[in-house]
This record gives sequence, structure tokens and C-alpha cells, in this order.
Amino acid sequence: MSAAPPLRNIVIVGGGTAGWMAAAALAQLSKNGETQITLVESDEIGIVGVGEATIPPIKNFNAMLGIDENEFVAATQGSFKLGIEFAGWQRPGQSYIHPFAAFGTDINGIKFHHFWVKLREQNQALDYSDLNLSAVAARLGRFARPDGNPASPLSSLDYAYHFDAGLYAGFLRRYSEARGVNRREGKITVVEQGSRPDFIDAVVLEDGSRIGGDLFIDCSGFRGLLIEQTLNAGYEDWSHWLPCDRALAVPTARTEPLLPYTRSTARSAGWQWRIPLQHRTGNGLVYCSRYLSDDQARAELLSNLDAEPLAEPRLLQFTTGRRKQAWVGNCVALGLAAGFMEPLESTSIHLIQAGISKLLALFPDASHNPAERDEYNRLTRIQWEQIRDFLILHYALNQREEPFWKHCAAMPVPEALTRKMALFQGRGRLFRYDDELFSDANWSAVMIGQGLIPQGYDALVDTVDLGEVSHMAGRIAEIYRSVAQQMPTHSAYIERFCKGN
Amino acid sequence: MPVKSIVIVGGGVAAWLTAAALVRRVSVPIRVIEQPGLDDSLGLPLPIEATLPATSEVLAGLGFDENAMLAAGNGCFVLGRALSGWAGDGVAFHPYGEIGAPIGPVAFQHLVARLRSAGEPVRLTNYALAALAAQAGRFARPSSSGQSVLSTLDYGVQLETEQLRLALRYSAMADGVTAANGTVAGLKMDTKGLIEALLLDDGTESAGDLFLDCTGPTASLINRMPGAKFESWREWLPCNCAVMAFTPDRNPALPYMHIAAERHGWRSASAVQGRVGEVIGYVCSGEPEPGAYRYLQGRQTAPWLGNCLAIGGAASVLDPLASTQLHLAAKAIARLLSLFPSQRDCQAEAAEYNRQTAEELDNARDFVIAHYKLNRRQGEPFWDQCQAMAIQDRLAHKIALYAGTGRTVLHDEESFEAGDWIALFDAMGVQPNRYDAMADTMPVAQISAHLARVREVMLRELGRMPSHGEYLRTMGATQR
Repeated sequence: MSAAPPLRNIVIVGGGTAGWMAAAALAQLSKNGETQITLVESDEIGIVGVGEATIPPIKNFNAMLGIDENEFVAATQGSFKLGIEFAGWQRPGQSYIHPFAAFGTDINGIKFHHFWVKLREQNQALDYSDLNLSAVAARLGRFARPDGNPASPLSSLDYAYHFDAGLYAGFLRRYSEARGVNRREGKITVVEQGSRPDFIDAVVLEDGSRIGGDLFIDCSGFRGLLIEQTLNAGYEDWSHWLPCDRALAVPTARTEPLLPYTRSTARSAGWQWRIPLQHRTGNGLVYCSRYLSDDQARAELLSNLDAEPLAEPRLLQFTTGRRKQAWVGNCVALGLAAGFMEPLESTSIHLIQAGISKLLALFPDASHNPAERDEYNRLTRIQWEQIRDFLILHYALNQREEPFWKHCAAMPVPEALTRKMALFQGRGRLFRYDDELFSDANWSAVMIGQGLIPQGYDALVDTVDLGEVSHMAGRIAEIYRSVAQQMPTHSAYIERFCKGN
Repeated sequence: MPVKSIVIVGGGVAAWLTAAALVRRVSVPIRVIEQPGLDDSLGLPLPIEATLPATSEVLAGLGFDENAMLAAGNGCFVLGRALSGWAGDGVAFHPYGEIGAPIGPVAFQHLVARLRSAGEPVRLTNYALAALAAQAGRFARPSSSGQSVLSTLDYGVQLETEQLRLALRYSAMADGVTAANGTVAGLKMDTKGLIEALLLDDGTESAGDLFLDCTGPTASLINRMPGAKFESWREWLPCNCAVMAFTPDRNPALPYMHIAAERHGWRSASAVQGRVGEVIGYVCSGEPEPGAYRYLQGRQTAPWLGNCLAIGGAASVLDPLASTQLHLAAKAIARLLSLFPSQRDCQAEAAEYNRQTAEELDNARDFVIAHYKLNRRQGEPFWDQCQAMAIQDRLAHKIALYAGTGRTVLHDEESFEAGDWIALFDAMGVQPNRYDAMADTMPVAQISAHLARVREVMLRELGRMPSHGEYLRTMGATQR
């Protein structure tokens, strides 16, 4: 048996969030003494600050890099996130929280939501979100880190972060450069090919310098300089399912109290995000240009801010979808180069992270075995489609009156989602396929939050005494309330542990 | 129409397993129509049925106590499979449970591959506690503490099929299931294409709302349903004839099974207390010899049609090389419970059930096909053809990814975990030609020391484990 040698030169094209996340994670490979990581970016090309809100697995990514949480939150002007409030999604005036934690507790292996459905049928049910510690703390504007002891109610809490993506990229740049990643400044003018079909040999910069590589990570953003403009990977357009195609982003001054959650508010032809950071609040309106002009969007966004805007709104245009092949030849696309889905469930940074961990797990050597590429593309497709379906769910379940929303409620949805909705509507059944990112708790939070209440429940629920369940549910809600009330406010927590500079 | 009664057809172990499980969870009357004849309700009429590590959780979820099953079925434990004749002369072992231990994020098989590429021969299963215990004839149930090396071991049980059937029948009837003799002669359908009643050969009818076909490969209910289709796997799984023996044996029961490849097919041997069962599977083109069992491998395309659901051999037939029969039947029952219909007409439930089941059966099928496809026997037409046969992309990709990278592909509804696939590939002589790039960041000496430490801890634990026979005696499961 003879292994092919490891790759010597890895070139990352683009230095936004995706590029520096990839650089930081791949930096560890250079410990083999043979692999060199180079990142090419140009200060002239603007960075699209994707996300700014994240989901809990980001903690694993930072932990893998050995990043201290307090230092990271301070450096990125970050804050903590216990979930997302969806305001007006079912209909104007209504709101629910999609929190990062489990609801209630499973009984005899049966998911709690089945019991909740039965309690509700008998008019004994509490608000579903009262049975979720992250949701309870979010409503109270409080935060504490979870307890590692599974006996503590605080162990059921989970969280993620809001942060300034530009500062995060800068933070990871310092981290990466300290670990030997070589940064090259310059605009790429030529992509050299020729040695093998679908392989890239080198990129050439404006000043004529040539950077050769064995593996190229395309983090060049929407355009996909390598993956699309050079390798023609193809793009699968999903705008018939997710019709929003523009966003206007604007920062505003920080407000008090500092909320420990993201807010997503349904507007006339799209939705508005609100992401609280330490130094400012990120806002934006995602909308569908067929139903709303840019001027109307600007007016709608500016009239719905809770503080002074700190800059002119910035326009972004996109086509929702994904690159058909995220890995072609010796090029892997990450971030916007791999595709775009609106940040409704804060998945942009997660998709970068998941792409990096799959790439590490399937990291090629000089033999470039196509099985690695095929597996990467297979897993990537599954993950993107699953997130896509979860996003579509939010639109499909709306009961709003505006033409855009009526269109969304009526549009056909992918077959897998139809099946998921039918099974939940029937008897609250939820199945998790292919290690899906979103769990039963996530799906039930959004489905119940937007009014898709199961007509029945698991047949086995009737084997458990409902009086006991009702008592237990009351007790859980009581404990969560008192635990949450004892937490510091989110502002105080940040002030104490991770105040930004 | 709500589901107010269930009719199970069969009378073999599949029918009574289903009845005994459902009666505890579902509050409607259950009737079993017992058909006379050989019990091939799980697929092949094996004298001994074995479970997989994953089965114990399923059976426990269905309310079955493992110790009670062991006692009823003269049972013993099984720690894995000895595989001989598949890839040359030696014997390889497929252990249940974990193999070795990772270093940080780098999985054990990558550490082994790194050592092998540095010229150090490493026998993978020297680092699996189940393999060491099986060789030494020792057994202990795994520890639930992640700190203990005993938590890395896993196991199944081997049970005498007929005794198991009798015990399940007794338990189900004690819980209120009723039984009647009869053979299905036809179905009485309603206008929507659902079964209203079974027409029995004595002229009587048996009415119900949900009909479970546990009649084995004849599938005498589901095959009568409109739209029923059997998908044959013969092009990849050519064996179609089996001869079985079940004989007294005075030796202590071995805690593993033996699966041998032979010139024309395979031979398996497994044990219960006081007896051994042997099965020989081969290809038979003409008339089978007297006493031989004829079978055709494959599955129902849709095991749940209308209000009729096939469980066990009526849903699928697969070479019993990897102890899948009882496992798949238990999974089918658990899945039925997770999708238990409230109405006679239950298309949403059926569609989801069929989707999950198809995935599960195809995964199990691929695991068995891999034995044939990857064989390294030479100069025998049967085995040469198996090496040369075309396989589906699904399995080809699994093999290519492992051979290329040491990574395993796991789909939903896998009966076998990553460790099982790795053990199988390794037993067949498939060695990854590269490994996790992170393994290169560790010195070879560090990896060698890690392996030595793993083995030392395992051998120390092995010394504390009782013999298989002693373990069975102290837990009181000895019958004969």
C-alpha cells in the first residue's frame, strides 16, 4: 500500500467570513510540515457580511480552533442568541419564538409535543414556548451559560451568537496568520488551467505574480470566480420556492435592553431582520422585487427602525439556490460561492462551517480520488435541500393577506416538505433524516408557532396518565421561569464577561 | 373508518412477535390466524435466530425483556462473526461494538492505516474487545459507563426459533390475543381497495381494519393486494437453496457465529445452549435435493399497501449471513407503532413507512452483497462471477469511498454501523489507500503507543470477564 503525498499548496480565494473561517480551520494541516495555506484577497473588493447571527454548532467550530469564548465575543462586538422571534409570520400581530433548546421532556420515549397536543385538546396546555428554557429567558431579556450538570434545569439551555462578521473575519485572520497562513494582497486577473480537465493550476494577480496550488477554495462570493466563472459548476435556481431576491441592510444605534435573540418581522413583501450587537444593531429587509420596488423597500425599512440609522442602506441582489457541484476537480466552493439562502434561520455561517468540516473529513491528497468529491457533493446537496425546506416551511405556513404572502401560501413546496407537513399535521409525527441539522424541537417550534397544530398524537400517549403529565408540564414551566428570573440580564452578562472594545 | 381490530396472518415467530408487541401498546382486539406448515415467517426457516447489537434497543422498546427471551429460547450471546474463506485462507472477525479508540478527532481506522502505510502490520480486530472475548470464549454485558473499556463491547443474542415462537405465543395469548387456525383463500375488498375481511379455506371470513401479513415468502396477503410487486435481488444474491441442521452439542456454546464461504456458496454455524444450528446456502439450478429449502431473495416494493402490511419474510428475504431476519422484523413492528394509523385508509402513514423500510432493506441488502462482491477466492466460477458482477452505485460508492479514504458512508436506516462496515471491508482485504490528513500531523510513535495502550487496557478487562457459560449460569438462563 502506498499513499499519495499530501497536498502541498492550498489556495483560498477571497477573504470574507468564508475565506478566513476556512483558513483558520485548515491552518492545522500545516502541522504535517508539508502543506502551505495561502489566502488571496483584495482590499478593493468589498466583503458581503453574511449572517451576523448564528446557530449553536458555531460553538463547536470555535472550540475546534481553541478560541476563548469571552475573547471572541468581545473582539467581534458580539452578543448571545437564544433563538429567533418570528413576528407577524402567521398573521400580523402574532409572534412566536423559535428557541435553541428542547421543549419539555420526553416521556417513555415519546416526544413531548405529543403530550402537549393532547393537553391542548383538553384545554390544559400551557404556551408551547413556556416549556423551553431558552425561549423563557429570551422573553425576559436574560442570559446565562448552560450548566454542564444534566441534573440542573440550566443544562437544557442552548445558545449561539450574534456578531459583526467583518470583525469575526479580522479575528480569524489574526488567528490564521499566527499559525502560518500566508496572506497575499491582490486582485486575480487570470485563472490558469490545463494540466487536467476541471483542474486549476494557478491564479495570477494584477501585478503578474502567479500563485500555484493543488487545491483551491473558492470563497469569492456570489460570482464564484473559480467554481462558476472558470469551472462552470452550474447553479440550481430555487427562487420558485424562495422568491425573495433582494436585501437592504442598514445598521442602527444600539438600544436597551440588549435583546438575547434575533428578530424576524414579516413585512409587506418579505421580512426584516434585527440583530442586536454590542456596538450597534444590524437591520435589513429581505424582499421580493416582483412585489416591492427598491424605493418602497427602502421606505419600509427606514420607517421600521427602532433607532437612528448609522449609514445609508446597502442593496444586495441574489438568486436563491445552490451551486450544482460545490466541489469540481480541485476546487471547493464555500460561502456565497457555494450558493445563497436568505438568513431566515441564520444558516449562512453554519453552511460555511459544515462545508469546512466535510472538506476536512474528505480532505484529498495528491491522487485526488473522485470518491471524496462525490461524497462531499452528495452530503452538501442533502444539507442544502434540508435547510431550504425548513425555510420554505415558514413561508408556506403564513396566513397573511398581502399578494406576496398569498402567493407564498399557495405555491407548491418540495415533495419532502409536503410529506413532513402531512405527517406532522396528522399525528404530530416527525422523522429526522440524514443527520439533519434541524431537530424535532426546531420543526415543532416553527410548525406549532405558525399554527400547524397536529390533529392527533402518538397512539402511545394514551398509555400515560394525563394528570401526571399536566402536573409535570406545570412544574417544568415554573422551574424554567424561576431559573430564568435568576439569570443576569443579557446586558449585565456581557458587561461582566465579554465587553467589546 | 377507525382501526378497531387487527388481524395477523401466519402463526410463525414473526406473527407472534408482532402480536406480543402490539397487544401491549395498542388497545384494540388482535387475532392471529395460524397457518399450518414450516415456520419461514422471518424469511429462511432458520433453527436459530440471532439478533444484532441494534436489535436489543428495539426489542426493549417493544416491551421484551432480554433475559426472559434468553431463558425461553435456550439462548446465549453472540459477540460477532468469524468469517472464513472469503478473502483467502485466514479467518477474520467481525466484532460487535467499537474497534479501538480515536485520538482526538482522528478515528481509529485512520490511525491503523497510517501505521500500515509506515510498514507496521496491524490486525484491526486485535483492538476490539468483542473479538478478544469471542476468541477467549468469555462474555460480559457492556458497561454503561463511558469510562470503562467494557462500554466498547456490544452483542446480540442467539435464540432457538421454535422455543421463541412458543414463548411469544404464550405471552401474547396471556395478554389477550386470540388465535384461530386457517389458510387464506382470498380477500374481500371494499370499494376503496381496502381489505374488509379475509376469506378462509373453510369458508369462514375474518374481518378487521388492519391486516398484517406474517406468512413468510409466500406473502399470501400482500401478494393479493392490487399493486403488489416483488423486487428480485437475484442478480446480486444468487443463492436460492438452503439445507439446515439442528443437532445436540455438548460443548459450551460459542459466543460468536461462523460464516464460511465455500466452493458453491456459504455455510453458517451458530449455537444456543446445548445445540448447534448449521445452514448451507448455495445455488441450485434444477430440482432441489429432498429437504432443501428453496428461496428467492428480494423485497416487496411497497410492504404497506392499503390496510395490509407485510412483516418479516413476507416483506423481504435475504441470505442470513449477517443475522438480519429477526432484526428487520422487530424494526418493522417498531416502525408500524411509530406510524400507527388511526384510520383504515392511511396513505400518508403507509407512504412514509414504505420509504423508510425501502431504505432499511436496501442498506441491509448492500451489506450482504458486499460479502459476495468483495470476495477474493480464486478460480471458482461462482465466486469469480460474484467479483465481476455489476453492483448499484449506492454500494459502489460506499466501497470506493472506503477504499479511497477510509471513510464510511452511512445512510438513514442502517442496520449496521460504521464499525461493522469497516470490519467487513477489512475482513475482505479492502484497505484504504489513504487516511485522514490529520493523522499525518501525529508521529508514528505516538500512534503505536496509543494502540499498545488500547490493547493493554482491553486485555486487562478481558481477564476480568467470566466465561460465556459461567455468565449464562450466573444469570440463570441455563435450561438444558
